[in-house]
Amino acid sequence: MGLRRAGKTSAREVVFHRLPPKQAFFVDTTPGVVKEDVEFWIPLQLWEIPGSQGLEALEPLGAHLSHFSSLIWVIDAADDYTESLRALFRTVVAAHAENPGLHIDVFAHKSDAWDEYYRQDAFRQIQDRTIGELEDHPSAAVQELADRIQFHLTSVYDHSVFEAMSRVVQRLVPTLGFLEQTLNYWSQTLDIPKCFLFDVPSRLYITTDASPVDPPSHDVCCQYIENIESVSELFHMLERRKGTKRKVAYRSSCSSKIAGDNTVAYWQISERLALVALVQTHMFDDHRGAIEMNVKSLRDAMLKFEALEARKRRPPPP
Amino acid sequence: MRVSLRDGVGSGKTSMRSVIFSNHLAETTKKLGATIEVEQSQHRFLSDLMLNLWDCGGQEAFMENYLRHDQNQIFANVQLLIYVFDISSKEYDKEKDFAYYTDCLNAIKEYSPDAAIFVLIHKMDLVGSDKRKEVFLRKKQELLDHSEDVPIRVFGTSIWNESLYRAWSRIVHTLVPNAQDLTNHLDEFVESCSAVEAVIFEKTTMLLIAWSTGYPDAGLVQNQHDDVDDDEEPHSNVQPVLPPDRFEKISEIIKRWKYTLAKMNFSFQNWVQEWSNFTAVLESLTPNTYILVISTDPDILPGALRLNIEMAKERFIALQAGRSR
Ligand SMILES: Nc1nc2c(ncn2[C@@H]2O[C@H](COP(=O)(O)OP(=O)(O)OP(=O)(O)O)[C@@H](O)[C@H]2O)c(=O)[nH]1
Ligand SMILES: Nc1nc2c(ncn2[C@@H]2O[C@H](COP(=O)(O)OP(=O)(O)O)[C@@H](O)[C@H]2O)c(=O)[nH]1
Ligand SMILES: [Mg+2]
Repeated sequence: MGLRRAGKTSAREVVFHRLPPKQAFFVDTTPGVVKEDVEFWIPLQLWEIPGSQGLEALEPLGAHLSHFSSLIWVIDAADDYTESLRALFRTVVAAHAENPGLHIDVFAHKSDAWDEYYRQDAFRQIQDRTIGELEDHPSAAVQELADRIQFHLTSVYDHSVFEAMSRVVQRLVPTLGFLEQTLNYWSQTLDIPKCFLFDVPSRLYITTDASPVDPPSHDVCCQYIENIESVSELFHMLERRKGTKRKVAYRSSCSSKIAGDNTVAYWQISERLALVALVQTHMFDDHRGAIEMNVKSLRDAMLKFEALEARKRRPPPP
Repeated sequence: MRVSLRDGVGSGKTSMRSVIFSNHLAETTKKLGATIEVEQSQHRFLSDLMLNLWDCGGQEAFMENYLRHDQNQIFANVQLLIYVFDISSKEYDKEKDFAYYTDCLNAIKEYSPDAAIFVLIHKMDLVGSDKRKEVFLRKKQELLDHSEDVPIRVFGTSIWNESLYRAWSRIVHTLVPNAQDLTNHLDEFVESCSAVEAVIFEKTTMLLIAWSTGYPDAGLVQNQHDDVDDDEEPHSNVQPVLPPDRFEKISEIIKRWKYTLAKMNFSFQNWVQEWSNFTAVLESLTPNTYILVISTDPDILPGALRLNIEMAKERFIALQAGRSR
């Protein structure tokens, strides 16, 4: 949700339909509620409520807020956002009354329009004003929201909107505690600065190690996925020759060495998922065996997990 | 070595030069101002080739000036002339455009009769893809009609797609010494590691220097080695197995990757990709070239390909320095 021209459609199209950011410029105003199932590791349904309408738009469609798990409010941060903050506040209070479990995320969008200094400033203002107002609300339940509401600086011109969307969907995926632990353990023992488990087709990551995500590392990992996918598409019509020695099923793995002691590495984990890591080159080269073993155990665990989830999702026999 | 770039204001010469030589992405070229006077820039290419680019702004007054007064300064010792036509230029300017063009050709004929002449019909992206071929061919014919007996080669280009690399690769190819030797050695290399194909790119421009294939498909070979003036589409009647514009695409991918890394103050070193259906390795070959090797042999691990490249390095470095075996 968000006011008109805030960038809801652009964000949705760029993330889930691979719209080139340049073309976001030509996106038309959305006339009515758009509801779509998007491609993701778990089934995901997105509703866009155009700026001209509010939560009331759901009623005639027979939808109720309690059916939703997350609400994203998109603010045009490049414009005067006073009105948007007011509408956000109204919406949040109303939504909370109907569905107290609803996750709320605020995208301070079009952040590319500001230079670094103003960007942080505007971002802080948006947060402070929203939180301040929630804390001043007489209802204790609403006050609580002040701690739960999440803010993200986003733009379609870099990968920040992917990062924000990743954060949103992560709260909807089944507990990945074991995965996170594995990634943490992995990054500590092998001294890996950063690793992500990506849902490759959507470029959203479903989990990462405990260290904070810095936007440039995230950007590099996203771009890397884009690059190698383009290469693989160029040669997709090639076929392996008949081998004599190796008959193992191939799992894609790629790496790119970058300056000094850094390598970006990619390992396919399951059909949609891949592990993407920034690794120190000397670790990558010298401890390849240990790394591969860890990747393998992660892969095995993940495959088991996916099989389990698939079984859960299958309708029960009559 | 002098390379001359010329023609109208805003026809895209500066954008083109920055996309190829300065690691700009097409998106960022809108910020460049129009070239008003002669802008000279030097680019080292393959260590000892110095490309001296003269980007001659196309504003009328200056055009007149060059053509009247500075002829020998601008046109002497030119090895290569690249003339850029803007496909979107107005119809009523056409005769004037051609007049400048023929003046230029005449000057080059007089001062540098051996110069190779390339004409780029630029901003082809502005023409709808259904009409592109037709428009290109018509323009090309017009150009030929205005070129008298001077041999020219014509390409359709746009900074928004790989056509620009395609044209420039052809252009610089004519400048690479030992081009044939290089290709022969690459053929040997491809055979020795039973690869599908191998390509050598110049590092900063990512222009294609040499290419060799072991893949048994004649359509591909013909497409890359033929020496006719080229347009957008491959004109072979054999259905190519691999996309004919793949190397230009790879150049673009690497440039984009370098651009992303530069934002983090990183620089690009290599790639190793193992997919279910092929293996790709891109490594430094000589101090100013990369080699890309594509293999489908499941018995050849990426490590082996890298070793092969390592062992071939010395040979290629010697070759590039102008020494044959
Ligand atoms: N600078 C900048 N502009 C953006 C960004 N995202 C979207 N825009 C522009 O904002 C305008 C409105 O975008 P839409 O996606 O149509 O906005 P919307 O929220 O769906 O609007 P309604 O459908 O009218 O509610 C478009 O012109 C986009 O090009 C961004 O990250 N940065
Ligand atoms: N559509 C399109 N525009 C281009 C292309 N190449 C350059 N331009 C645009 O044309 C304008 C002028 O380009 P510039 O390089 O400054 O022209 P110069 O005066 O010949 O150097 C810029 O706004 C570029 O973004 C192209 O291939 N296609
Ligand atoms: Mg919309």
